Amino acid sequence: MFVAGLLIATAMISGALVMADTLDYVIKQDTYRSTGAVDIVVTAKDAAGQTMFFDESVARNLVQDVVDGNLSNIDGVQPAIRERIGVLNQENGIPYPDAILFGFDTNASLSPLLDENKEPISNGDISRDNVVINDALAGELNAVVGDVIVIMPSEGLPKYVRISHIAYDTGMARWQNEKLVFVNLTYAQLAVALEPHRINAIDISNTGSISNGYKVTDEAVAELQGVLPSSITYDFWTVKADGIEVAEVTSDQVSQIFVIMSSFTIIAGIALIINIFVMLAEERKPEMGISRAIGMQRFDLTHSFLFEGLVYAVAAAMIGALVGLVIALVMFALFSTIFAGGLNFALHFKMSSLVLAGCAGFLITLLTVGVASWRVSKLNIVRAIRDIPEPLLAKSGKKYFVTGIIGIVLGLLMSFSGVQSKQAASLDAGPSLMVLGLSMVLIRYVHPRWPFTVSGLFIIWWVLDPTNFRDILFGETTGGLEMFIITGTLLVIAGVVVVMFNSDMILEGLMKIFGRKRSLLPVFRAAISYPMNKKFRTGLTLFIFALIMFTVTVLAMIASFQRESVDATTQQFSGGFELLGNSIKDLSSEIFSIDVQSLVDEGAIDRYEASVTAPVSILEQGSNESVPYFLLGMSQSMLEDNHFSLAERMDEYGSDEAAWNALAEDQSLAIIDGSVRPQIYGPSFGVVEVGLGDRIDLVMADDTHVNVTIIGIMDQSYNLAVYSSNDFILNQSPIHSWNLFYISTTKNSGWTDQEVAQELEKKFVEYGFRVYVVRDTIQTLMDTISSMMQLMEVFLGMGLIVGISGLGIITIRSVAERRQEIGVMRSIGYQRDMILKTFMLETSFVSLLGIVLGVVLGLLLSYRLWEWGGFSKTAPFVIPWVEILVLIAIAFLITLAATLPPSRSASRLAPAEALRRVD
Amino acid sequence: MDTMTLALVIVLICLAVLGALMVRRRTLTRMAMRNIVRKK
Repeated sequence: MFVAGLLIATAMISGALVMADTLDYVIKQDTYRSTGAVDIVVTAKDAAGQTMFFDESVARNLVQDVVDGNLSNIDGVQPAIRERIGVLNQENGIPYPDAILFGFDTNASLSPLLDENKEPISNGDISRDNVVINDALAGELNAVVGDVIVIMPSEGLPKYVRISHIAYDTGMARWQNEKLVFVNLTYAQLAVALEPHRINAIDISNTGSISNGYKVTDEAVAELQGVLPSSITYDFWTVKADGIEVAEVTSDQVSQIFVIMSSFTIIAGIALIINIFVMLAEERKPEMGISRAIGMQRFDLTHSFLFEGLVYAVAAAMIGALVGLVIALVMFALFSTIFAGGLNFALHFKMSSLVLAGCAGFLITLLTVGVASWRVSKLNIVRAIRDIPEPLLAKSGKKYFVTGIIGIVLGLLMSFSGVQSKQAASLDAGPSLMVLGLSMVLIRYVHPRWPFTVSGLFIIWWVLDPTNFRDILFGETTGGLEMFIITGTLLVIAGVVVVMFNSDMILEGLMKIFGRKRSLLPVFRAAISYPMNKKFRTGLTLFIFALIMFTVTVLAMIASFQRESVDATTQQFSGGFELLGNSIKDLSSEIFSIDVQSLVDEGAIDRYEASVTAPVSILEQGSNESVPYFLLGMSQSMLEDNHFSLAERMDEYGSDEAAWNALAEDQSLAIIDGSVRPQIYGPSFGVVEVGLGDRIDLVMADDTHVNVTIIGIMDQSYNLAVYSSNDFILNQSPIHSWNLFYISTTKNSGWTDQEVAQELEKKFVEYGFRVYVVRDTIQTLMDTISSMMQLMEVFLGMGLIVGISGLGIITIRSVAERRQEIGVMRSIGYQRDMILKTFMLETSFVSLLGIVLGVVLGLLLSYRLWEWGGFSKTAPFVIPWVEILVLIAIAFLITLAATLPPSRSASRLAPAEALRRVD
Repeated sequence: MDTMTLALVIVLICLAVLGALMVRRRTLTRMAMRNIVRKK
């Protein structure tokens, strides 16, 4: 039974690792599926860095090299043409602007391409005007076999072709999870390369199977570099190795986030272990006292507890690792219901993860057991035999004084190092430790209530820092995700300290409210006397509840901020333009304005702006490293009437508009997206760090350098780019394209934004024009983030369940411990239901106090996060009361369910039975 | 040495040390085991 209480730590770690394993497996499988046998894709680029066509003979020679055995790490070569095209279903008029034309040779394909009946596609199926499309594209176009579709390559004329098959969803048909049109290589050469014998990609399969060929990627690339003609510059896209790396990095991040988040539960689990041991010791106190009296040493007692704990720890580690599997299973079941479709999660785990979780859990448990054993073995022999309580925080206690001094010194050292390194973690913990130490010293002279209440309140104030006092004192400090755990734990400890040292006052208040009814008075008195007598145990239980409720509340709040921020984020991202269009092919603003005129005339569109974009690199200051970035231009009229909000701007510009206007006049100025700013409490997704007023060095595609001064940083950090004027890009960058359009729709024109978007896609399908409704995109993104947060809540909620079952265990033991008391109470007239009420009231009291404390502290921290973390700019402070009340109700109901059976058995105890002194 | 091997080694060392202690202090071990059986 104790094992159940001890296995939380192991179960949470194991759950986190198994989830990461599964994710790793799923992403890797997806990589294998979407690349098939292909490990490397060789492409060629011209002087300006654009991909270009090259002669097919390059691939044919490679094939010969493989046959001759010159390339030991390569076992397959496939010449191909892959080109982005727009597609229009002639039968129903549905466009799809972003498909890929895949030209290949059926005799030399690396992965199979099968038809609906799983028969291989023959050359005849894709000869001349016949094409095969994949399932994904058929779904987009609502197409069936026999339909005529129009394919629109970026160069050359549109072609009318007939769908001969819809490929079975396997092998090549899954290439990169794209929407594909398969054609004969010769046909592709005529249709898009516009020249025979030209290709733009060579797919390479490494020696080995689909799942292990990537291991020789580096060797294969080296071999290729040796044999490919040097007249062309090649790009080696190591498509499979990249996918594997993504899988590993993602699963690593996921396991880190979940392990970090589970540290709350682990801390709560540690508190539970201590609680269980303190309880065990109290139960055996007279026994232990007698053992000590007849010659057993304190050391021996510790050992005996340790041995007992060892057995529990081994069992807990083994069972916990398996319980982790169940946690992961539940999480993925929820995950699939939230994100329907897409990836299919079947639990996959490595034995090593389970072993690792088991080991980590075992060590944590053993360490806690060791410390707890040492602590509970310290007892006063006489008091133990007489079974009277040890005085808590006795005034005379020299050890409190010494511990206090040690606390102060440690706290000072920590604060000092915090100031030196500007680490927020030490700055939080140092002073907190100091005041707690000081309180321990002070209780020699005053009643413990005062120093501890004051220090508890101080810690809460210090950690939350409502007046930004610390910023003034120490300036900006740094901290990552670990800060959440440190602030959380400190806040909860402080809250518990304040509550516990003022519990008598809280109770007095409660008595005044509930004690009026005479029949309840005896129940009430009995119910609160016990927890208030065993303050250490009550405090720990309170801590467990408060800590987990705290975490869950903060996560619920962050999820709420994300949901609430859709409107403001949409505004920041779109600058007032409802639609954002992106074309694959150069679409000049003249052509755009001619074709879009009908929509303007109908009143659907009231403004549109065309932007030029160009690839660019930002040279990092003080190093020669350059980071690839984007240049995004805006027209004069757009810069003159611009509503994109800025997070920061230089002082000389009176408003955000003024800063944008300045770009129209001065080409040496630029504005950059918000990702370059450091992020608080979360992953920073910027690739470069740039400050206001920095003069950054832009490297254009032809290696010329241009310096611009950053006069503003935007709020939005989704569209990563250096923003400047169209003229600047046209003047400075040799490569640029007119491919971005900002479109503003008219309200109440009879057209919805989605209809306008589809109409535009249809009009410009030959340019591969995709239109995004900004609000919908942001909504999806925010929903995803907030679902992830809720998933995390569930993960931690599972810790809560285990924590609560711990409370059940404690109740069972306290029933056993109080048999005699129950007997006496029953003898003096307490009825059965009064005993039941006493126990239920007792557990409800402790758990509700913990729950309320946790929720209140969680709301306080969320408010600070809202202010600090930039949420206040995008979202109102909305408390999701329903969600929080449901959480409270669930936690409370499980508590009742866990404590009801032992309480009931206590109430059924016959007085005569209970009074007998037997176990 | 990867993390798992390291963790396993530490765990085995802990188990070995405590196991040795348990063998040496048989009476205490017996006491502990009796406690486990009694308070399952």
